[in-house]
Amino acid sequence: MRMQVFIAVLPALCASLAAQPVLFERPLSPRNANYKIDVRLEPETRRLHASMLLLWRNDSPIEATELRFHLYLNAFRSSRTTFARESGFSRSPDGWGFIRVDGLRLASLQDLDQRFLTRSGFSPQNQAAALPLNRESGADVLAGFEFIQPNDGNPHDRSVARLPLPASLAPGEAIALEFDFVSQLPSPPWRVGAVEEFVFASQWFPKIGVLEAEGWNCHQFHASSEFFADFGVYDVAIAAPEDYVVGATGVEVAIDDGVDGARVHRYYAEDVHDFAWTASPRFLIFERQVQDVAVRALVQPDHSAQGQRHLDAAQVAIERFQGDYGDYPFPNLTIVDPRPGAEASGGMEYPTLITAGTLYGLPLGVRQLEAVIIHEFGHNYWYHLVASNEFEESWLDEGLTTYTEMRIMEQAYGPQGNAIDFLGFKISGRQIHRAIYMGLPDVDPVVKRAWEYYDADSYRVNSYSRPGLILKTLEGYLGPERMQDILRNYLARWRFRHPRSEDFVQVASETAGEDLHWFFQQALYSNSRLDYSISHLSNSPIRLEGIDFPESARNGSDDGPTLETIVKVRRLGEFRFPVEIEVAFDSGRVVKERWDGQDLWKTFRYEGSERALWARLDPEKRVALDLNRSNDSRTAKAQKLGPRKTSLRWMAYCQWLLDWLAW
Amino acid sequence: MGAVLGAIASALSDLKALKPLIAVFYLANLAAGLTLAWPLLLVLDDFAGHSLEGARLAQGVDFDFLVELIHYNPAALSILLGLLLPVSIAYWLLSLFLSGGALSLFVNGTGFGAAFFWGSAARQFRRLLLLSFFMVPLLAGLLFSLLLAQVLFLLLMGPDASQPAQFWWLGLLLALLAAGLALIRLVFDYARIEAVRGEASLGRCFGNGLRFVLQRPGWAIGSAAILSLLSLAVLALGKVLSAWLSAPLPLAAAGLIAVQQAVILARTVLRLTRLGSQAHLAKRMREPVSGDA
Repeated sequence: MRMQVFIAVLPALCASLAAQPVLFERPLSPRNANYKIDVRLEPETRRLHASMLLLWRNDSPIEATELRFHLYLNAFRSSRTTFARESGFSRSPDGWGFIRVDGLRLASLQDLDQRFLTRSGFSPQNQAAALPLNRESGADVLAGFEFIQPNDGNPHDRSVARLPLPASLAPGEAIALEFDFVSQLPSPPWRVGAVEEFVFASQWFPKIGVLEAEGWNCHQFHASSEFFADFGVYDVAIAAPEDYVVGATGVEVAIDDGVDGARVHRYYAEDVHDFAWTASPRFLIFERQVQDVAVRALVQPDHSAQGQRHLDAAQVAIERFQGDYGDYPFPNLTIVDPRPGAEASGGMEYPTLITAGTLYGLPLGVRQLEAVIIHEFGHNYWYHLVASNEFEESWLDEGLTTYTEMRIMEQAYGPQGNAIDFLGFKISGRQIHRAIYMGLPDVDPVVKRAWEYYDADSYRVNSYSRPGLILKTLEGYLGPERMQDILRNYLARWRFRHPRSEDFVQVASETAGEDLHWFFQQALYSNSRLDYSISHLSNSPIRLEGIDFPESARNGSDDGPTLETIVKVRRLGEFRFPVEIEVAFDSGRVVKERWDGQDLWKTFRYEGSERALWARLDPEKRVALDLNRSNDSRTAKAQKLGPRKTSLRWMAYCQWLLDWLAW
Repeated sequence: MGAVLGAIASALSDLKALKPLIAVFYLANLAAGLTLAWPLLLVLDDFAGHSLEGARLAQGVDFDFLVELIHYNPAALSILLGLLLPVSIAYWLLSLFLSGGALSLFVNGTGFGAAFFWGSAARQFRRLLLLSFFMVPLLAGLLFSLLLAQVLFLLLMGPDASQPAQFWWLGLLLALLAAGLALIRLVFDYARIEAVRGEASLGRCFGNGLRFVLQRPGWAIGSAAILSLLSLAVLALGKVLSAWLSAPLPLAAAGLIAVQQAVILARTVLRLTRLGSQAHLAKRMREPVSGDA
């Protein structure tokens, strides 16, 4: 399945050869943002001391006169940062986090690691031409490094910095910069941080933004947003106490002895756009080979009984994603189980490393752990392989992932009760997302910058649940096979690139064989509600009166129709969508109708001798976005049995409860 | 154990002559149940009474429907849920009221006489209500003990105790809470028997009740445990029968309702048996010791 994986990575062998490993014979991505980092963990202070080489190439069509960097950890430095103001983030006096750049130099071309340069796409022949600013060594450029606030002008926010360049970089030219920095991890963690012996380091290093034709895309860190970055090679050496188990993005290619009893874990990754790692002396390791992916779960001792459960969920995810959507080209996946007290770092995605989270005693029928692992692994497709902009179009990663998670949960655990099947309660993931969506269906459109939604709930609804249901509705409209083709084609076309919403719509339209803008325009760019109802159903005798009808007809001797059935369908929301209608008659005949749903209402009339029993919309429940299914049908006669039985059941429960309470 | 089984048998025997008593307790429970079920029926009829969703309710309530019911009927359901607490309190008071009459019948060993029953119930109600306040210190003591245990746990294990330790400790605390509540209720049960017997001082009633439970825990706990287990068995049987009658057909639905009400009726009988057996055991306690249990 994956021919690109060129060598098996054997840590001991690589260590002995001290060679630059190779994961992919040919680059899968542009590899224009490459990092070589040496970091030392100081567990007592939760501090990281690091030096970093950044090798960045201008892949944009414009000249770069400055560079912009994310310094995410500075979002946690005070209660006045943009992130903290939006989220209410607070920590005890010694629990705040920050990142401080102590040194910043232009790297010397002669001193650069040639193998790292080669893997990053610079041959010895083109280096001098490609790196014009690095021909002279060691120029200190720290003085020009300044914090900026491109989104809100908040002077307390230091999560973005700019570095003016001594000379502009033309498209195709590159620069190598050396950083010395210190990262203080917040405690307890938010997404990143440390508590007790557990360390989770994500967004921990100065990370360059993305230069686009319109300029730098490098947003401040917000409460409701994730990330956006270019692909590259990461070669990271992590020095941690020798009793610490370490897990990270990429593959571990060497473990060496460091100073002061530390061990240096060297991780190497190609064609990824981020690097996260974790360390703890308490991790239990569970491993399994799933197809061509080596899965390693780092599980807390409290959750040892669920180690295999982590692997089982990962197996479901890997097999389904590779089978249905396309190849996962990386050789491994690491799953991290955060310690109690670090739950906020759970349920996150990073390239080849995801975090989950569980509780001791979590019943098998409560599939929270499975859903999270399938979801986060899904992000290794919709975020990692297809690197859309999480700041600006969060639905493209979260929505697609929610949809594929719902689908895989249905396939693996059944359509009913795939999320919760416990003590007689059966709830599916789709039902949970629908309930969430119903709570806030029309406050914002889906496509919006992540921090500009009405509130955090609106961000969640419009990034996760609503887009998941939008795609589920599209699946109902096009069919599951066509929907799967759309995602396969989207992945194939936009692998290792940065697509926008319009790119997805384009692929969907091409694959569907029809222009789907009518659907996505309503679904993504408006706050339209989708709700159709059967508002009227009646059967009335046909009256044959007046001068056109002889007495014989009035007396019923005519063979003509005797009953008129009227069914009225209404569009209660602004969202226009074609709907199917079924009308059932007492003869057993079921008439199927289709309405384009454009007008506010439509009437269907039937004449004959049959009496209509019921009429219903969307008989196969394909329109997942429909906000009210209880008005999707109407019966000619009142339905007494269901309400009475339900009420009497409720009565019996109340009687039991009262009987138990009474003294 | 012989005394306990004997007391239960005697209570069941008494109940044969006290069928109206069973009817009164059952009808009180039924009335409370209807009070809570009627608003739901109105809401369901209005919301889904003319739809296939309404017809599907005969097969059970699915999560989508439940969410829509709550979402589109917030006021009606608030009223329904708002009724739960007042109805529960009213039912507790009514049960206390009726228990005065029932215990008078058991203590005096008379057959059912409406005037005697209702008169006794009315006469005892104020005293039984006041007696129930004597349980508040016991309840406070129980809660304080559990709080103390939690503090000790935190001191011993620290705030960062392992999840398994926290999980099982929580389970233990809940079990202790349930056991403590059951014991307090037993004290109250025997205290009110004393009150119904005519003991003038409520404090002495409480003391005697407490003494009975402490001196004869086998009797007190044994009879309650046997009847609680029987009650659970009835519930389980009802659950099995209900599963067989889940078909969305009018006849099956009628059968289901009949089974549910039969379970409630059986539980009512067991509840009254409990009161009767406690009255017998309390009476025996006062008799000369004969070397039982």
